[in-house]
Amino acid sequence: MRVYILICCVAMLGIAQGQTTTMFVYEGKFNSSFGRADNFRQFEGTLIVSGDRSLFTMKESGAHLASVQGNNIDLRPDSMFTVFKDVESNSLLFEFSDLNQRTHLFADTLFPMDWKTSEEQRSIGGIPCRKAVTQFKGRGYTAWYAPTITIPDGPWKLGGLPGLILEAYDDEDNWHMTFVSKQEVHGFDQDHFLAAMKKGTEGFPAFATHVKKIFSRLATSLGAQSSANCIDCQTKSVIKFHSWEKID
Amino acid sequence: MKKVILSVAMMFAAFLTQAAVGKPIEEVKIKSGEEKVSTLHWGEETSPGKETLCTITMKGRIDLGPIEAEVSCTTSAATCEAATVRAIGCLSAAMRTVRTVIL
Repeated sequence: MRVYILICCVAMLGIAQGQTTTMFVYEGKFNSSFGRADNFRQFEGTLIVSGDRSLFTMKESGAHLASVQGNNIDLRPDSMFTVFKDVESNSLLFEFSDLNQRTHLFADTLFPMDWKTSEEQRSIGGIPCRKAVTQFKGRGYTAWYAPTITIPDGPWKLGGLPGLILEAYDDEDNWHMTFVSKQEVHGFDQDHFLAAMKKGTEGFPAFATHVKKIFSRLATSLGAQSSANCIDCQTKSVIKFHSWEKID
Repeated sequence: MKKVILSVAMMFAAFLTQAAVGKPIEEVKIKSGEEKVSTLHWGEETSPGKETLCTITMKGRIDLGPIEAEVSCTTSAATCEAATVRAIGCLSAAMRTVRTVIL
């Protein structure tokens, strides 16, 4: 009898947790050349909100296989802009995939954006939204948030507004996410992120250092092979690195 | 215009011959991505250059999603054919090195 009661309690707990977890689905685009050229691809973003915690990620619509083609080496991870937020502990973790496509978690400040709200209004999916703009890590962003959905969250690292962000984009429209639907889901796997938080995760400066190391490794390798083969000095080779978030 | 067409044709010819000579990396920069570049991929930038030199720029990309590395090789030579062959060789060598680093 006790076993049955226990099973019922666990099942009810599971149902209760499932009812409080909502997945907001976004559609949009991302230009991996950040405005220097047109390399737009379509993405589907999902923001799963469970209580004070959420997980955002965006995946390319359709099949995507990392590849080496001609002079373009495509090492984009399957999921990009993956961010785990925990409002209660004021924590934010984000994923970064390195040259070997290993993912690393780094911490960042939760909602540091200084939003400027305006009276401008529009409807997204029949939901009234208000406009807000901010500058964040070297880019300007516009967000349309829904005051009627009292979740101070949004796609990627954006959030901290008095309502869920239903549409967000940068000033050059290289990244654009628009809410399309929502559905109830049965929670999401938080263990990976909670374990990282418990263990202690390095912050954004460590991420910047990590990225610079990768760049340096590439530059050193290219420099080494180049000087070995340098025959005349009429050829000039340049390697430039571009990051969506300002890291220097 | 003829010169551009000629250089593109030479570029394809050079592809087949697979001439490869690496050249020095002279700059390493980290930018946050706002820089505008007029062309990308097989940098179809040709210009007569100063005096009689033909200058060719070719570019390759390493796409990590929110981070991108862009390798470009600019060569000048007496003929656009020679410049193209050198630029292709330079870029091919650079991209091979990147693959070696990654794999």
